[in-house]
Amino acid sequence: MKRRTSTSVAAALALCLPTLTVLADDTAAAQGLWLSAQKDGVVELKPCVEEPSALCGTVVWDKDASVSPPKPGDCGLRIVKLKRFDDGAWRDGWIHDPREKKNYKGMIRAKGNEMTMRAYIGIAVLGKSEDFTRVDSIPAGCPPAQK
Amino acid sequence: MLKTTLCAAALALLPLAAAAESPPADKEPVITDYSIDGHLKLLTDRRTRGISETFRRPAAEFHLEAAHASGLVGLVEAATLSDKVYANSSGYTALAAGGYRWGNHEGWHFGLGLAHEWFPGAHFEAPTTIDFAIDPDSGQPFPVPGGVRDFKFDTSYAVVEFAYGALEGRYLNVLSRDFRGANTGSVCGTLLTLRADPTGGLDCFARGDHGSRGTHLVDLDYTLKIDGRTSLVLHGGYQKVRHFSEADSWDWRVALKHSRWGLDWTLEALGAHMKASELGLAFDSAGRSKRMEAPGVVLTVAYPFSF
Repeated sequence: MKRRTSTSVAAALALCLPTLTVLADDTAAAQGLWLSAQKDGVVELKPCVEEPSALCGTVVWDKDASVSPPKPGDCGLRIVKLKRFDDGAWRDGWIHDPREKKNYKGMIRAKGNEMTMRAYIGIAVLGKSEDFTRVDSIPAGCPPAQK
Repeated sequence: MLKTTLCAAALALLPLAAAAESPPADKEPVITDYSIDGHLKLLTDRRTRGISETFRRPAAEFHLEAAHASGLVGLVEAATLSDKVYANSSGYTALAAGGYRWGNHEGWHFGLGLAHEWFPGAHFEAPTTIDFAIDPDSGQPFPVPGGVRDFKFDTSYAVVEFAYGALEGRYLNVLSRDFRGANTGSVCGTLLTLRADPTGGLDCFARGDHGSRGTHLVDLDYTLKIDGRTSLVLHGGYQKVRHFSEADSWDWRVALKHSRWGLDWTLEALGAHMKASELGLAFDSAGRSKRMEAPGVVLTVAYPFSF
């Protein structure tokens, strides 16, 4: 009986482990460098320094900062902080729109090399989405100190 | 909103101080509870359900939409139109709508609302009855129009929206007496005037004086995302005009949308099929006719903005 219980626990753990691994992978799926659909900016998503369980996003390349002479850009600007990962997406936090200088509720869902960022008011239906594509490197442009 | 998050054009206008306004890392920022978005649009033709409102000529449109975190939404829109299509029109139309949206944006979501559209200046006089008299000379019967009244095109709607993923649908039910002037005078009068055989027009008048309250309008759109800034929209629509099946129609549209240089570009092929094709005709000042529902290609450029 005892052996049978141990076997059951082992089997249950064996079933759970892949799930836990998938969850860990999912939360990390959003991390990395993401190029906007307009190809005019790159956002880096990674765990927040002050709250490692949350996801933060910072502008690490801005097309305007790469022109000569450089225009004012948003290099170094934090535009995302989302605290909870649920149902395959990061939620519960804010997304900052630098043009409007307004903060919205936000949601990020990433899969492979595609990421969708949604900013909304109240409920997610009342919002807009932007698609991003994963990139490996940051183009030159932003002052190194701000990257 | 987010479309503009990293918009180059917008960033170019930002002062350096914008970075300083980013929420501090250790503080919860104030999250807005409203949004106001709009666009200014130029079109080579402006159509509603595949039927041109501008005599198949260029048009301009202004659109403003506001939403509150509670789910309440409202919009206003104004656009140019042709007095060849809307008789005696002042040359523009306006729309106001309000409602409530709810649901899961990744699953089913819905909207309920009311809308009203105005066609300032536009009106027409038409008979609502046709009687017959006997020509004393020939002894032949001839139609005598009666009950001439003045009608407008202004229309009110109840609106239901529904969407799931890439599929978006809308159902409208006409609340006003007429759907864009569709009534015995306009529909039956047009058939009687333009058809060589008067039977259809006379039969239409014989059904009595009716408006078109209760007309059903259905639109279905399927958006196929090609990349982050390009999409293909397939549209099908149907309108069932109450009391006037002659004005029933379906419409189609294939639109390629692309965002570039801070503008939204659309190239679309579209058209409609009306059960009674005479109802799709409009006439210029020289009396030449054009089919407003004929298939066509429309290029649109829109400047989107947000507050």
